[in-house]
Amino acid sequence: MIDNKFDQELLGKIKKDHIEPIPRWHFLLKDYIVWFFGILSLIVGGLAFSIVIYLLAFNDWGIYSQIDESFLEFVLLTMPYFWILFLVFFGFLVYHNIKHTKKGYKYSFKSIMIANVVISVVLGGLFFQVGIGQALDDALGETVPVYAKVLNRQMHFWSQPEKGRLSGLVVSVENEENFTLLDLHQNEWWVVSKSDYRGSVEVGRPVKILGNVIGDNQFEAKRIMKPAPPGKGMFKRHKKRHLPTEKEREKMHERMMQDPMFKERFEKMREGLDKYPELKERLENKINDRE
Amino acid sequence: MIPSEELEKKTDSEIVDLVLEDQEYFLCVVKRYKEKLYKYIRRISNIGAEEAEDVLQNVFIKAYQNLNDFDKSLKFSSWIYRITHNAVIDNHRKIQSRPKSSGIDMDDDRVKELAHDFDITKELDNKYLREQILKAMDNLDIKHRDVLVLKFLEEKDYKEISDIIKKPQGTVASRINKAKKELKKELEKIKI
Repeated sequence: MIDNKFDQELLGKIKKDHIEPIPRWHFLLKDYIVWFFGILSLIVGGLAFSIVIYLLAFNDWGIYSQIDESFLEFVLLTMPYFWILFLVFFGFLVYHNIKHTKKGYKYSFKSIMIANVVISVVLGGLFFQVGIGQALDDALGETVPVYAKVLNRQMHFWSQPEKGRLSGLVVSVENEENFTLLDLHQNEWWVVSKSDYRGSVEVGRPVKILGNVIGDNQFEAKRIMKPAPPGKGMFKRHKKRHLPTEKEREKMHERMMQDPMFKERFEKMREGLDKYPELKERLENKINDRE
Repeated sequence: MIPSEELEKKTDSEIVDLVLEDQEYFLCVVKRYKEKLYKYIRRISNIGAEEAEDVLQNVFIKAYQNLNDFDKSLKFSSWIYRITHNAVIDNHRKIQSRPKSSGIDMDDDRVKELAHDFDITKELDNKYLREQILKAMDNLDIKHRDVLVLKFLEEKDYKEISDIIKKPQGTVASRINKAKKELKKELEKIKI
Protein backbone atom coordinates (compact mmCIF):
# COMPACT_ATOMS: atom_id res chain seq x y z
CA MET A 1 0.00 0.00 0.00
CA ILE A 2 1.14 3.48 -0.78
CA ASP A 3 -0.03 6.12 1.64
CA ASN A 4 -1.32 9.63 0.96
CA LYS A 5 2.09 11.04 1.87
CA PHE A 6 3.24 9.82 -1.57
CA ASP A 7 0.53 11.87 -3.33
CA GLN A 8 1.34 15.03 -1.41
CA GLU A 9 5.09 14.62 -1.94
CA LEU A 10 4.55 14.11 -5.66
CA LEU A 11 2.34 17.16 -6.03
CA GLY A 12 4.78 19.15 -3.86
CA LYS A 13 7.67 18.16 -6.14
CA ILE A 14 5.72 19.13 -9.26
CA LYS A 15 4.98 22.54 -7.76
CA LYS A 16 8.41 23.09 -6.23
CA ASP A 17 10.28 22.19 -9.44
CA HIS A 18 7.77 24.12 -11.58
CA ILE A 19 7.13 21.02 -13.67
CA GLU A 20 4.65 21.73 -16.46
CA PRO A 21 3.18 19.62 -19.26
CA ILE A 22 5.29 19.97 -22.40
CA PRO A 23 3.28 21.98 -24.98
CA ARG A 24 1.41 20.00 -27.65
CA TRP A 25 3.24 21.75 -30.52
CA HIS A 26 6.48 20.18 -29.29
CA PHE A 27 5.09 16.66 -29.86
CA LEU A 28 3.44 17.64 -33.13
CA LEU A 29 6.70 19.12 -34.43
CA LYS A 30 8.58 15.96 -33.46
CA ASP A 31 5.97 13.88 -35.27
CA TYR A 32 6.09 16.05 -38.40
CA ILE A 33 9.91 15.88 -38.47
CA VAL A 34 9.83 12.08 -38.27
CA TRP A 35 7.22 11.90 -41.07
CA PHE A 36 9.10 14.46 -43.17
CA PHE A 37 12.35 12.47 -43.04
CA GLY A 38 10.46 9.21 -43.57
CA ILE A 39 8.81 10.54 -46.75
CA LEU A 40 12.05 12.18 -47.88
CA SER A 41 13.90 8.85 -47.49
CA LEU A 42 11.15 7.13 -49.45
CA ILE A 43 11.48 9.66 -52.31
CA VAL A 44 15.29 9.39 -52.31
CA GLY A 45 14.89 5.59 -52.39
CA GLY A 46 12.52 5.98 -55.36
CA LEU A 47 15.07 8.16 -57.16
CA ALA A 48 17.82 5.59 -56.53
CA PHE A 49 15.53 2.87 -57.83
CA SER A 50 14.83 4.86 -61.02
CA ILE A 51 18.61 4.98 -61.64
CA VAL A 52 18.86 1.22 -60.99
CA ILE A 53 16.09 0.61 -63.57
CA TYR A 54 17.82 2.95 -66.04
CA LEU A 55 21.20 1.24 -65.65
CA LEU A 56 19.74 -2.26 -65.84
CA ALA A 57 17.48 -1.45 -68.81
CA PHE A 58 20.57 -0.47 -70.84
CA ASN A 59 22.99 -3.07 -69.55
CA ASP A 60 23.96 -4.52 -72.98
CA TRP A 61 22.14 -7.74 -72.16
CA GLY A 62 22.73 -9.00 -75.71
CA ILE A 63 26.50 -8.62 -75.52
CA TYR A 64 27.45 -11.20 -72.90
CA SER A 65 27.53 -14.00 -75.51
CA GLN A 66 30.39 -12.17 -77.24
CA ILE A 67 32.57 -11.72 -74.18
CA ASP A 68 34.73 -14.21 -72.34
CA GLU A 69 32.74 -14.04 -69.09
CA SER A 70 29.68 -16.16 -68.36
CA PHE A 71 26.24 -14.58 -67.99
CA LEU A 72 26.55 -14.72 -64.20
CA GLU A 73 29.97 -13.05 -64.31
CA PHE A 74 28.57 -10.43 -66.68
CA VAL A 75 25.72 -9.72 -64.25
CA LEU A 76 28.10 -9.56 -61.28
CA LEU A 77 30.50 -7.25 -63.14
CA THR A 78 27.86 -4.77 -64.25
CA MET A 79 25.44 -4.69 -61.29
CA PRO A 80 24.86 -1.17 -59.95
CA TYR A 81 26.03 -2.14 -56.46
CA PHE A 82 26.32 1.41 -55.21
CA TRP A 83 22.70 2.21 -56.02
CA ILE A 84 21.49 -1.07 -54.58
CA LEU A 85 23.34 -0.36 -51.31
CA PHE A 86 22.06 3.21 -51.41
CA LEU A 87 18.53 1.85 -51.81
CA VAL A 88 18.96 -0.58 -48.91
CA PHE A 89 20.36 2.22 -46.71
CA PHE A 90 17.41 4.49 -47.44
CA GLY A 91 15.06 1.52 -47.00
CA PHE A 92 16.37 1.19 -43.44
CA LEU A 93 16.02 4.94 -42.90
CA VAL A 94 12.36 4.68 -43.93
CA TYR A 95 11.93 1.75 -41.54
CA HIS A 96 13.63 3.68 -38.72
CA ASN A 97 11.41 6.74 -39.26
CA ILE A 98 8.18 4.74 -39.56
CA LYS A 99 9.06 2.91 -36.32
CA HIS A 100 9.43 6.28 -34.59
CA THR A 101 6.01 7.57 -35.60
CA LYS A 102 3.24 7.29 -33.01
CA LYS A 103 1.72 4.13 -34.45
CA GLY A 104 4.83 2.73 -36.11
CA TYR A 105 5.43 0.10 -33.43
CA LYS A 106 2.27 -1.74 -34.54
CA TYR A 107 3.90 -2.82 -37.79
CA SER A 108 6.44 -5.59 -38.11
CA PHE A 109 9.78 -5.24 -39.88
CA LYS A 110 8.49 -7.49 -42.67
CA SER A 111 5.32 -5.51 -43.35
CA ILE A 112 7.13 -2.14 -43.31
CA MET A 113 9.83 -3.44 -45.65
CA ILE A 114 7.33 -5.00 -48.08
CA ALA A 115 5.37 -1.71 -48.22
CA ASN A 116 8.65 0.15 -48.59
CA VAL A 117 9.79 -2.02 -51.52
CA VAL A 118 6.40 -1.76 -53.27
CA ILE A 119 6.33 2.05 -52.92
CA SER A 120 9.99 2.35 -54.05
CA VAL A 121 9.29 0.20 -57.12
CA VAL A 122 6.20 2.24 -58.05
CA LEU A 123 7.94 5.58 -57.40
CA GLY A 124 11.14 4.42 -59.12
CA GLY A 125 9.18 3.19 -62.15
CA LEU A 126 7.35 6.49 -62.34
CA PHE A 127 10.56 8.53 -62.03
CA PHE A 128 12.19 6.34 -64.69
CA GLN A 129 9.22 6.80 -67.04
CA VAL A 130 9.39 10.60 -66.82
CA GLY A 131 13.16 10.52 -67.41
CA ILE A 132 14.36 11.44 -63.92
CA GLY A 133 16.61 8.36 -63.70
CA GLN A 134 18.36 9.37 -66.93
CA ALA A 135 18.63 13.05 -65.94
CA LEU A 136 20.21 12.09 -62.61
CA ASP A 137 22.64 9.67 -64.24
CA ASP A 138 23.65 12.33 -66.81
CA ALA A 139 24.19 14.94 -64.10
CA LEU A 140 26.20 12.56 -61.92
CA GLY A 141 28.25 11.40 -64.93
CA GLU A 142 29.19 14.98 -65.68
CA THR A 143 30.18 15.90 -62.14
CA VAL A 144 31.13 12.94 -59.91
CA PRO A 145 34.82 11.97 -60.19
CA VAL A 146 34.29 8.31 -59.20
CA TYR A 147 31.31 7.87 -61.52
CA ALA A 148 32.78 5.05 -63.66
CA LYS A 149 34.24 3.11 -60.74
CA VAL A 150 31.40 3.45 -58.28
CA LEU A 151 28.16 4.78 -59.73
CA ASN A 152 28.10 3.08 -63.10
CA ARG A 153 29.93 -0.24 -63.26
CA GLN A 154 29.13 -0.55 -66.98
CA MET A 155 31.63 2.22 -67.67
CA HIS A 156 34.26 0.32 -65.75
CA PHE A 157 33.25 -2.89 -67.54
CA TRP A 158 33.87 -1.19 -70.90
CA SER A 159 37.24 0.19 -69.80
CA GLN A 160 39.14 -3.09 -69.68
CA PRO A 161 41.13 -3.35 -72.96
CA GLU A 162 43.11 -6.33 -71.64
CA LYS A 163 39.78 -8.19 -71.46
CA GLY A 164 38.80 -7.07 -74.95
CA ARG A 165 36.56 -4.16 -74.03
CA LEU A 166 37.39 -0.56 -74.77
CA SER A 167 35.35 2.61 -74.78
CA GLY A 168 36.13 6.25 -75.25
CA LEU A 169 35.87 9.24 -77.48
CA VAL A 170 36.89 9.22 -81.15
CA VAL A 171 39.43 12.01 -81.53
CA SER A 172 40.53 11.50 -85.09
CA VAL A 173 39.54 9.28 -87.99
CA GLU A 174 42.53 8.53 -90.14
CA ASN A 175 40.83 6.34 -92.71
CA GLU A 176 38.17 3.68 -93.02
CA GLU A 177 40.19 1.22 -91.04
CA ASN A 178 41.93 3.34 -88.45
CA PHE A 179 40.97 5.92 -85.91
CA THR A 180 42.27 7.28 -82.64
CA LEU A 181 40.39 6.99 -79.42
CA LEU A 182 40.87 8.53 -75.99
CA ASP A 183 39.73 6.13 -73.31
CA LEU A 184 38.21 7.12 -69.97
CA HIS A 185 41.65 7.09 -68.30
CA GLN A 186 42.92 9.57 -70.92
CA ASN A 187 45.03 6.97 -72.71
CA GLU A 188 45.28 7.33 -76.45
CA TRP A 189 44.48 4.21 -78.53
CA TRP A 190 45.20 3.51 -82.17
CA VAL A 191 42.25 1.42 -83.28
CA VAL A 192 42.41 -0.90 -86.28
CA SER A 193 39.20 -2.27 -87.67
CA LYS A 194 38.21 -4.13 -90.77
CA SER A 195 34.54 -4.18 -89.90
CA ASP A 196 32.04 -1.75 -91.32
CA TYR A 197 31.93 0.86 -88.60
CA ARG A 198 31.54 4.08 -90.51
CA GLY A 199 28.07 4.66 -89.10
CA SER A 200 29.22 4.92 -85.53
CA VAL A 201 32.74 6.32 -85.80
CA GLU A 202 32.88 10.05 -86.07
CA VAL A 203 35.22 12.54 -84.45
CA GLY A 204 33.77 13.70 -81.16
CA ARG A 205 31.44 10.73 -80.75
CA PRO A 206 31.81 8.08 -78.04
CA VAL A 207 32.09 4.43 -79.05
CA LYS A 208 32.54 1.10 -77.32
CA ILE A 209 34.54 -1.65 -78.92
CA LEU A 210 34.86 -5.40 -78.57
CA GLY A 211 38.23 -6.72 -79.74
CA ASN A 212 41.73 -7.26 -78.43
CA VAL A 213 44.97 -5.47 -77.69
CA ILE A 214 47.49 -6.00 -80.51
CA GLY A 215 50.34 -3.81 -79.30
CA ASP A 216 51.20 -0.82 -77.14
CA ASN A 217 48.01 1.22 -77.06
CA GLN A 218 46.87 -0.51 -80.23
CA PHE A 219 43.52 -2.22 -80.33
CA GLU A 220 42.00 -4.39 -83.01
CA ALA A 221 38.23 -3.90 -83.15
CA LYS A 222 35.91 -6.76 -83.94
CA ARG A 223 32.74 -4.91 -83.20
CA ILE A 224 32.16 -1.20 -82.79
CA MET A 225 29.01 0.03 -81.14
CA LYS A 226 27.35 3.14 -79.89
CA PRO A 227 27.60 3.20 -76.10
CA ALA A 228 24.42 2.67 -74.06
CA PRO A 229 22.75 5.87 -72.84
CA PRO A 230 23.92 5.55 -69.18
CA GLY A 231 27.18 7.44 -68.74
CA LYS A 232 26.37 10.00 -71.44
CA GLY A 233 27.19 12.74 -68.96
CA MET A 234 30.62 11.30 -68.40
CA PHE A 235 31.41 11.30 -72.12
CA LYS A 236 30.23 14.90 -72.24
CA ARG A 237 32.71 15.79 -69.51
CA HIS A 238 35.36 13.73 -71.26
CA LYS A 239 34.63 15.50 -74.53
CA LYS A 240 34.89 18.95 -72.99
CA ARG A 241 38.24 18.12 -71.47
CA HIS A 242 39.89 15.95 -74.02
CA LEU A 243 38.73 16.55 -77.57
CA PRO A 244 42.02 17.50 -79.21
CA THR A 245 42.56 20.66 -81.16
CA GLU A 246 43.59 20.59 -84.82
CA LYS A 247 47.22 21.09 -83.77
CA GLU A 248 47.08 18.17 -81.38
CA ARG A 249 45.56 16.00 -84.09
CA GLU A 250 48.41 16.89 -86.46
CA LYS A 251 50.93 15.99 -83.78
CA MET A 252 49.12 12.71 -83.19
CA HIS A 253 49.30 11.97 -86.90
CA GLU A 254 53.03 12.72 -86.96
CA ARG A 255 53.54 10.37 -84.05
CA MET A 256 51.58 7.66 -85.79
CA MET A 257 53.64 8.06 -88.91
CA GLN A 258 56.63 6.98 -86.87
CA ASP A 259 54.94 3.59 -86.54
CA PRO A 260 56.22 1.53 -89.54
CA MET A 261 53.06 -0.56 -89.72
CA PHE A 262 50.84 2.49 -89.83
CA LYS A 263 53.18 4.27 -92.25
CA GLU A 264 53.10 1.31 -94.61
CA ARG A 265 49.30 1.18 -94.52
CA PHE A 266 49.06 4.91 -94.95
CA GLU A 267 51.33 4.86 -98.00
CA LYS A 268 49.33 2.00 -99.50
CA MET A 269 46.13 3.91 -98.93
CA ARG A 270 47.62 7.05 -100.51
CA GLU A 271 48.75 5.02 -103.55
CA GLY A 272 45.26 3.57 -103.76
CA LEU A 273 43.70 6.97 -103.60
CA ASP A 274 46.03 8.30 -106.29
CA LYS A 275 44.64 5.62 -108.56
CA TYR A 276 41.09 6.92 -107.95
CA PRO A 277 41.24 10.74 -108.15
CA GLU A 278 37.47 11.02 -107.92
CA LEU A 279 37.35 9.21 -104.57
CA LYS A 280 40.30 11.23 -103.33
CA GLU A 281 38.55 14.45 -104.17
CA ARG A 282 35.37 13.31 -102.47
CA LEU A 283 37.20 12.41 -99.29
CA GLU A 284 39.13 15.67 -99.29
CA ASN A 285 35.88 17.59 -99.70
CA LYS A 286 34.37 15.68 -96.81
CA ILE A 287 37.34 16.47 -94.59
CA ASN A 288 37.21 20.14 -95.58
CA ASP A 289 33.48 20.25 -94.95
CA ARG A 290 33.96 18.85 -91.46
CA GLU A 291 36.60 21.37 -90.64
CA MET B 1 -13.19 21.87 -7.92
CA ILE B 2 -15.54 19.15 -9.11
CA PRO B 3 -16.90 17.00 -6.27
CA SER B 4 -15.08 13.71 -5.81
CA GLU B 5 -18.19 11.55 -6.50
CA GLU B 6 -18.52 13.20 -9.87
CA LEU B 7 -14.80 12.86 -10.56
CA GLU B 8 -14.97 9.13 -9.94
CA LYS B 9 -17.50 8.78 -12.76
CA LYS B 10 -15.24 10.51 -15.28
CA THR B 11 -13.15 8.52 -17.73
CA ASP B 12 -9.34 8.69 -17.68
CA SER B 13 -9.41 10.71 -20.88
CA GLU B 14 -11.75 13.29 -19.34
CA ILE B 15 -9.53 13.51 -16.28
CA VAL B 16 -6.54 14.19 -18.55
CA ASP B 17 -8.42 17.16 -20.06
CA LEU B 18 -9.11 18.46 -16.57
CA VAL B 19 -5.46 18.09 -15.52
CA LEU B 20 -4.37 20.16 -18.50
CA GLU B 21 -6.55 22.97 -17.14
CA ASP B 22 -5.73 22.53 -13.46
CA GLN B 23 -2.81 20.47 -12.16
CA GLU B 24 -4.64 19.70 -8.88
CA TYR B 25 -6.70 17.11 -10.80
CA PHE B 26 -3.54 15.13 -11.37
CA LEU B 27 -4.12 13.66 -7.93
CA CYS B 28 -7.08 11.75 -9.43
CA VAL B 29 -4.76 10.08 -11.91
CA VAL B 30 -2.32 9.30 -9.11
CA LYS B 31 -5.04 7.84 -6.91
CA ARG B 32 -6.40 5.67 -9.73
CA TYR B 33 -3.10 4.19 -10.78
CA LYS B 34 -0.56 4.33 -7.95
CA GLU B 35 -1.36 0.90 -6.46
CA LYS B 36 -1.60 -0.87 -9.83
CA LEU B 37 1.62 0.66 -11.13
CA TYR B 38 3.47 0.08 -7.89
CA LYS B 39 2.57 -3.62 -8.05
CA TYR B 40 3.56 -3.76 -11.72
CA ILE B 41 6.94 -2.14 -10.96
CA ARG B 42 7.62 -4.60 -8.16
CA ARG B 43 6.47 -7.55 -10.26
CA ILE B 44 8.75 -6.92 -13.22
CA SER B 45 11.78 -5.52 -11.44
CA ASN B 46 13.75 -6.88 -8.57
CA ILE B 47 13.81 -3.73 -6.51
CA GLY B 48 12.81 -2.95 -2.96
CA ALA B 49 9.73 -1.01 -1.81
CA GLU B 50 11.48 2.31 -1.39
CA GLU B 51 13.19 2.19 -4.77
CA ALA B 52 9.92 1.16 -6.39
CA GLU B 53 8.29 4.27 -4.91
CA ASP B 54 11.05 6.41 -6.40
CA VAL B 55 10.47 4.82 -9.80
CA LEU B 56 6.73 5.37 -9.39
CA GLN B 57 7.28 9.04 -8.58
CA ASN B 58 9.35 9.42 -11.76
CA VAL B 59 6.60 7.66 -13.73
CA PHE B 60 3.97 10.15 -12.56
CA ILE B 61 6.24 13.11 -13.22
CA LYS B 62 6.93 11.84 -16.76
CA ALA B 63 3.26 11.19 -17.32
CA TYR B 64 2.42 14.72 -16.17
CA GLN B 65 5.06 16.27 -18.41
CA ASN B 66 3.91 14.25 -21.42
CA LEU B 67 0.16 14.60 -20.96
CA ASN B 68 -0.11 16.50 -24.25
CA ASP B 69 1.39 13.49 -26.01
CA PHE B 70 -1.35 11.15 -24.79
CA ASP B 71 -2.98 9.62 -27.86
CA LYS B 72 -6.70 9.29 -27.21
CA SER B 73 -6.97 6.33 -29.58
CA LEU B 74 -5.08 4.38 -26.90
CA LYS B 75 -6.34 3.34 -23.49
CA PHE B 76 -4.93 5.72 -20.86
CA SER B 77 -3.95 2.66 -18.82
CA SER B 78 -1.88 1.33 -21.75
CA TRP B 79 -0.20 4.72 -22.09
CA ILE B 80 0.73 5.05 -18.40
CA TYR B 81 1.81 1.39 -18.24
CA ARG B 82 4.08 2.12 -21.21
CA ILE B 83 5.71 4.99 -19.31
CA THR B 84 6.11 2.68 -16.32
CA HIS B 85 7.55 -0.11 -18.47
CA ASN B 86 10.14 2.32 -19.90
CA ALA B 87 11.00 3.70 -16.46
CA VAL B 88 11.55 0.18 -15.12
CA ILE B 89 13.73 -0.75 -18.09
CA ASP B 90 15.82 2.44 -17.58
CA ASN B 91 16.11 1.68 -13.88
CA HIS B 92 16.98 -1.95 -14.61
CA ARG B 93 19.88 -0.85 -16.83
CA LYS B 94 21.26 1.25 -13.98
CA ILE B 95 21.00 -1.45 -11.32
CA GLN B 96 21.73 -4.58 -13.33
CA SER B 97 24.73 -5.49 -11.19
CA ARG B 98 22.81 -5.56 -7.90
CA PRO B 99 21.75 -8.88 -6.34
CA LYS B 100 18.26 -10.08 -7.16
CA SER B 101 15.35 -10.41 -4.74
CA SER B 102 11.82 -11.21 -5.74
CA GLY B 103 9.35 -8.35 -5.93
CA ILE B 104 6.51 -10.38 -7.35
CA ASP B 105 3.47 -11.15 -5.26
CA MET B 106 0.48 -13.35 -6.14
CA ASP B 107 -2.67 -14.47 -4.47
CA ASP B 108 -3.72 -18.15 -4.31
CA ASP B 109 -6.16 -17.91 -7.22
CA ARG B 110 -3.47 -16.46 -9.47
CA VAL B 111 -1.08 -19.26 -8.45
CA LYS B 112 -3.71 -21.85 -9.44
CA GLU B 113 -4.35 -20.10 -12.77
CA LEU B 114 -0.64 -19.98 -13.52
CA ALA B 115 -0.21 -23.66 -12.61
CA HIS B 116 -3.03 -24.43 -15.03
CA ASP B 117 -1.52 -22.20 -17.77
CA PHE B 118 1.79 -23.97 -17.42
CA ASP B 119 0.30 -27.48 -17.28
CA ILE B 120 1.56 -28.11 -13.76
CA THR B 121 -0.35 -31.20 -12.76
CA LYS B 122 1.52 -32.07 -9.57
CA GLU B 123 -0.48 -31.64 -6.39
CA LEU B 124 1.53 -29.05 -4.51
CA ASP B 125 0.93 -26.78 -1.61
CA ASN B 126 -0.07 -23.32 -2.89
CA LYS B 127 2.50 -21.52 -0.79
CA TYR B 128 5.28 -23.80 -2.02
CA LEU B 129 4.09 -23.55 -5.63
CA ARG B 130 3.94 -19.77 -5.41
CA GLU B 131 7.49 -19.62 -4.06
CA GLN B 132 8.76 -21.86 -6.83
CA ILE B 133 7.00 -19.95 -9.61
CA LEU B 134 8.33 -16.67 -8.24
CA LYS B 135 11.80 -18.12 -8.01
CA ALA B 136 11.59 -19.35 -11.61
CA MET B 137 10.28 -15.97 -12.82
CA ASP B 138 13.10 -14.20 -11.03
CA ASN B 139 15.55 -16.14 -13.16
CA LEU B 140 13.96 -14.95 -16.40
CA ASP B 141 15.25 -12.16 -18.56
CA ILE B 142 13.39 -8.88 -17.83
CA LYS B 143 11.71 -8.76 -21.27
CA HIS B 144 10.30 -12.26 -20.78
CA ARG B 145 9.29 -11.62 -17.19
CA ASP B 146 7.62 -8.38 -18.32
CA VAL B 147 5.31 -10.01 -20.87
CA LEU B 148 4.41 -12.84 -18.47
CA VAL B 149 3.55 -10.33 -15.75
CA LEU B 150 1.47 -8.24 -18.17
CA LYS B 151 -0.36 -11.27 -19.54
CA PHE B 152 -0.89 -13.43 -16.48
CA LEU B 153 -0.71 -11.07 -13.52
CA GLU B 154 -1.87 -7.73 -14.92
CA GLU B 155 -4.29 -9.62 -17.24
CA LYS B 156 -3.70 -7.39 -20.24
CA ASP B 157 -4.73 -8.57 -23.70
CA TYR B 158 -2.33 -8.76 -26.68
CA LYS B 159 -3.32 -5.35 -28.03
CA GLU B 160 -2.71 -3.67 -24.68
CA ILE B 161 0.62 -5.43 -24.23
CA SER B 162 1.54 -4.34 -27.77
CA ASP B 163 0.70 -0.72 -26.87
CA ILE B 164 2.63 -0.94 -23.60
CA ILE B 165 5.86 -2.47 -24.85
CA LYS B 166 5.56 -0.84 -28.31
CA LYS B 167 5.97 -4.05 -30.29
CA PRO B 168 3.69 -5.53 -32.98
CA GLN B 169 1.09 -8.01 -31.70
CA GLY B 170 2.84 -10.86 -33.54
CA THR B 171 6.04 -10.11 -31.63
CA VAL B 172 4.08 -10.00 -28.37
CA ALA B 173 2.60 -13.44 -29.08
CA SER B 174 5.95 -14.99 -29.91
CA ARG B 175 7.61 -13.33 -26.91
CA ILE B 176 4.95 -14.71 -24.59
CA ASN B 177 5.41 -18.18 -26.06
CA LYS B 178 9.15 -17.96 -25.63
CA ALA B 179 8.77 -16.65 -22.08
CA LYS B 180 6.44 -19.53 -21.24
CA LYS B 181 8.98 -22.03 -22.58
CA GLU B 182 11.74 -20.36 -20.56
CA LEU B 183 9.63 -20.44 -17.45
CA LYS B 184 8.79 -24.12 -18.00
CA LYS B 185 12.50 -24.86 -18.32
CA GLU B 186 13.16 -23.03 -15.06
CA LEU B 187 10.35 -24.95 -13.37
CA GLU B 188 11.72 -28.26 -14.67
CA LYS B 189 15.09 -27.38 -13.22
CA ILE B 190 13.49 -27.24 -9.79
CA LYS B 191 11.46 -30.37 -10.62
CA ILE B 192 7.99 -28.83 -10.66
